Amino acid sequence: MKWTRVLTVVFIIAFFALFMFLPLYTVIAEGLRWAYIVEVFKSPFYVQGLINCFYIGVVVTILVFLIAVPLAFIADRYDFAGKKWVTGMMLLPMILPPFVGALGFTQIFGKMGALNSLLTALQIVPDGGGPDWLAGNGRFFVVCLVEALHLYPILYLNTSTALGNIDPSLEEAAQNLGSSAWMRFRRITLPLIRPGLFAGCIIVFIWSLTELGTPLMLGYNRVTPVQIFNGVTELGSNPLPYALVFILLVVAAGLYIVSRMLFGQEGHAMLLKGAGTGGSSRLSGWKSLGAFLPFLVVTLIATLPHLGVVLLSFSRDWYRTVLPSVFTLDHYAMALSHADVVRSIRNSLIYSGTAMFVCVAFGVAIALLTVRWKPRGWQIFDILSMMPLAIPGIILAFGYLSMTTRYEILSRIMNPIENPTLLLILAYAMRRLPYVVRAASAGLQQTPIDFEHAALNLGASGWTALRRITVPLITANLIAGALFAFAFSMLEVSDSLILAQTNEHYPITRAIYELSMILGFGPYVACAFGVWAMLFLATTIFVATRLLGRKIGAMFRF
Amino acid sequence: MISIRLQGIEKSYGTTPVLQGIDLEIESGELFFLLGPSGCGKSTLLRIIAGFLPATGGRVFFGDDDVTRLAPERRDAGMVFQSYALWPHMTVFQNVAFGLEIRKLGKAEIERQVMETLGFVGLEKLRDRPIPQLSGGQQQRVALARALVIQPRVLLLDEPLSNLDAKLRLDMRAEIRRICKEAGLTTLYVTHDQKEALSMADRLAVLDNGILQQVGAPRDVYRRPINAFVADFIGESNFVTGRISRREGAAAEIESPWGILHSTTVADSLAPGDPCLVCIRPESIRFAANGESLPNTLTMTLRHATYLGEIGQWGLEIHGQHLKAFEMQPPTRTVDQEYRCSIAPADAIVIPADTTTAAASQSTS
Repeated sequence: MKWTRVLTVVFIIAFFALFMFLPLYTVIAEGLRWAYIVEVFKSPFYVQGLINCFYIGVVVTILVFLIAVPLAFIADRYDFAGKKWVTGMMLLPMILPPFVGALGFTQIFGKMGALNSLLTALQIVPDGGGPDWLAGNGRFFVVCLVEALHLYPILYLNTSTALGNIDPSLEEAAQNLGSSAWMRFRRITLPLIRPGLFAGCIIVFIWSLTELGTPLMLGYNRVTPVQIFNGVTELGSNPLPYALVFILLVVAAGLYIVSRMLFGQEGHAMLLKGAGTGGSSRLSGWKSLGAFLPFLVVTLIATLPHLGVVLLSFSRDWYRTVLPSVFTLDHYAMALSHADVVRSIRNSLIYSGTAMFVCVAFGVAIALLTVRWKPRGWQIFDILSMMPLAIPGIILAFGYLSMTTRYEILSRIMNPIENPTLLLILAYAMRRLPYVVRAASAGLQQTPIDFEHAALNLGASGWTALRRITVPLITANLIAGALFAFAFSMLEVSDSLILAQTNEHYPITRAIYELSMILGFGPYVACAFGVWAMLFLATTIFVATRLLGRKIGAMFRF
Repeated sequence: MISIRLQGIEKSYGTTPVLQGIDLEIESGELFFLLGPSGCGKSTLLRIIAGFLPATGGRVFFGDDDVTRLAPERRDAGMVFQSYALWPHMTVFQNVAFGLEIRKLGKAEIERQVMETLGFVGLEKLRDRPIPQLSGGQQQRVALARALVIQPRVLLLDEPLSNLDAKLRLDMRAEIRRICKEAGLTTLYVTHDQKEALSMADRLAVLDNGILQQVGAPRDVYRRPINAFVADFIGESNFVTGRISRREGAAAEIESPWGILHSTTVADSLAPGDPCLVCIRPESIRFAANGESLPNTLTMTLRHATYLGEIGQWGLEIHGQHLKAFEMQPPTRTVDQEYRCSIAPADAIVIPADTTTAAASQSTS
């Protein structure tokens, strides 16, 4: 057992060294060149990109804060009819890829789109005379809106967990001492949830700052991630994207470190506790409806882009009307018969399926290491395994790309232009590893060590105890974690867009992007394909939630 | 059958000592109890014997076999966990069969032995039940069967009855003793429940603050506690300080604030002039009949009376000190009235005063 443990540690370290630190190092080594950085800041084109994505980050974080925090408070403080249902729906946007939703928004907000048609129908604007919502700053705000509607569950979960972890007696004690509601909030509640709030905001900010799929699909091209993506193919003649990635990395890492330094300890302690209940008061009648409605409205708005996608996918023609004029199933048939589509499904299944197994193997190993074996310095592995959450996908993907060009030996084994399979699998696995680690760790923490001791006591070896007792007991967690890893890999955007460069190796998301670029029927087929993908994702997530029970929230906490 | 021998077991976490120089021999076939308050180190000692924790120093022997460095899975020490640790994903049968499967027995043989053991604990009919559907008492028996079926060299029980309700606990005491004795196992039973220990043990050891305070048969430990901690932990005790004024063999006269006390139960180490502690069990205080003149007859004032049915629990006061007394079939007695009470010299247990302070300071440290 001792040697197995040493070997496990070696494998884990090698995995992180090769597929997290080496790409990051490459990004730094290639990007940290003074000349490049100066060049970037001299170019108004790139500076504008950086400013724009910074603005996106700020606006999205504010929007998310405004949506998520009040709702988290309502859910924590009050019980009302349908609460379980609407609070469950709050997680829905997590599983609706904004990348696909953006397709829907393009239609809805287009000059001849559904919104203007609605306004025309209501006789607010003349036919064909509605504003182009996507022109000027409109496109910027639509990007922000789509991202905010995708990311608010993160802050919602962080806030509700932080609130749930507050022992109600802490506030009761303040009340008992005569403190008013506002005073209690300011002096007791807010300081206690601040780490959770802050951590959630930081993650939302980093995610929106580095998001590639949404601005790309909405055609908002003057942001750094899209500029990086567009530069990937001509890195030989223009190395500036290296510097851009480096700058993004510095910003993301800087923010992450600041948040850890400010709230690291407390924020982490929160992870281990389960969300508690208590201290909520029951609402009825109009008050109950008043608490229910905001949830419903937010959920409806959040699903709007995807409803748009669904409608688009069924429509033969959707132009100058509120709803499509003619419905058809042709796009679905086409989506599943198109050669590129079929191949991309096969590719995605291979990439994501293999990534899932890699994730489970490393996830279980890391969970065992950090929950059970706890060798000296085990905390490092805990931090390591959560790091992929803080590293934006575009940075890691770009790191993979540049490491295969920088090191000849790597370019021979895993050249993304010849065959990106291995790189994509590893990128997917690395990015989704935290979910599996978390699921497996939660399982181990809930399984008393005595179960394993009892097996050892009866003469079972450590390995047998693991195989016969521990693994069966945490199977539900493992399956759930694996499904998450699988489902999110299937709809992974930045890795797929950057690493898959040839037609025959496109995964689903890249295929959707390529389809949407085809004029005419392209967007419709892309939508139909997107609906297939969402159905698939929804089913997987549904099964996973069933297996995980109410621990689902724990998967998305940071 | 095989003995368990502990030689100078030490355990500390950082600089905090948990066990200090534990020497103990549990004879083969003996039902031995390790008794102590929570946090005294008893479960730690059990886990060291089972092999789940490494000792900081000392050795563990099963018979002549030094098992100190042996992995837990190679010790052949059946253990019943406080939580039972029954695997919830297996049935009763699968739980019990596990150890035999590890030992690579044939299918038929496993079936035979498991059923035999389940019969032994009276659970044959529940063989295919999932664990969560069992009552506490049934789970307890499965845990016992699982440990017994492998015919372990020694049996280790970690507070096995603490999760059962009071009535069931009484039934299971006799049941566990019967099973251990019939199987002829050397058993180490850890508990904080002194009644459990007194009623079941062949011998017991009292552990406090990582030090073995006293080892002996239940009756001896109860009748002749070695220090104030043991006297107070095993049963209840009233204490009065004093000084030995005369000593003849096991008998002595003690000067105390209550006057001269006579005892025939005196620690060997005490000589005239030594400070001492007289320990009097509540049931040893007798109300004297009128005109009766017995040694150690004292006048006490009744301050509190609690009627508990079969016994009366009295709060008595003498020279400002409060005592507790039990009386079977209690008559009606009047509070704040003076009564003449006596203590038989054999029931006045005299222990050295310094061990008291040692034990007392240990228990507060």
